[in-house]
Amino acid sequence: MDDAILTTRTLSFLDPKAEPREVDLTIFKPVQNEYSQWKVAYILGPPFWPKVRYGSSDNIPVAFIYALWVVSAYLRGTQHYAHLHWQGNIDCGLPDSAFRPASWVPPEITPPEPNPGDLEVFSSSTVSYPDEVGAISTLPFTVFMPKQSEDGRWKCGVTFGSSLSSSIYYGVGEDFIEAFLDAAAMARVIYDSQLPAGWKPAEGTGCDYLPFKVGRSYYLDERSAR
Amino acid sequence: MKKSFLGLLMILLFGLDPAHAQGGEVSILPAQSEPSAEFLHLYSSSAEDDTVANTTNGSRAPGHIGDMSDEEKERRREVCDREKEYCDDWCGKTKGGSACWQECMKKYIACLKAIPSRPIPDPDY
Repeated sequence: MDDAILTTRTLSFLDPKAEPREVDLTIFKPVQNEYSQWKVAYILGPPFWPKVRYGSSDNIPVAFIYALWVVSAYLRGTQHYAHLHWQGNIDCGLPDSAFRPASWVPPEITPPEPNPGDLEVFSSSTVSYPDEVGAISTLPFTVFMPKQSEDGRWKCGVTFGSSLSSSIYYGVGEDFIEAFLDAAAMARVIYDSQLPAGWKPAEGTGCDYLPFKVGRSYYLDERSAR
Repeated sequence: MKKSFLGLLMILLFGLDPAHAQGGEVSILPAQSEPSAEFLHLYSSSAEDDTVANTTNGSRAPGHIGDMSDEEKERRREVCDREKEYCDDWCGKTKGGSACWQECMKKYIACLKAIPSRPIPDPDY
């Protein structure tokens, strides 16, 4: 695989003659510009327009999620939109924005696993939380590079605390993208569950930019600014 | 008609309705007093059902906006791309930071989603 490529996904659709066709979505590794803004670019293969577009943010996971959001918004405006899917998912397993319903129930969190200490880091950032006396502290938040397991499924680890020693929670999926989104959504649930009741992090210092999960679909919460 | 078009334009460009705009709602994005002529053209045509879509080769393809050619859709997307680049650049130069870039991204997605889709008919299974 080209060194510049982060991952790929193959989408399926039926052409007007009901012939099954496939199209490759290629996501490139994040690059940073002169303003310290991260950009994650993507391109779709034929029959889609051959143009590189990107998602951008000051934070790598957000730039990646935004790139997927751009793909979703782009596909919506194409004539093939109604016939596209990924593994039967008509949203192609890509995030869109939505209001999180009041009836939404967080997905169950899988128990954490010991940190092997040698996982490749995808991104490092921090989140804020109130310490015992109510002062605001920051905690490292690490997303590890999704990897394919021996059983063919993908796993993406996240941890709050030391990237070398803190326990790791794994998101799983059928490819890099799904495992990443699963881990990101789980990280948001874990973070929210650890906060004291009624306490909210300052804008941009929590995990509200991460998606929430409904079934096998992922959404960016319209209520949060992201 | 003109007023409703301006309202639509303001919402598409700035996420504001005209009342908010006149009321001085503070935005972290640049106050563009004059939207680009290209944007004005794009959104004035999309406000009409019986519009005529321009194509990149200069011909005019008659029909509803949903009949827009792939070339025309791509031209509109490129307008979205340029507005996004302008917005990002402004945020970078003014050190607007995370919230500013985030707002650019939201406007960009709204711009892309405004491009209509008329799906090809269901295949004859």
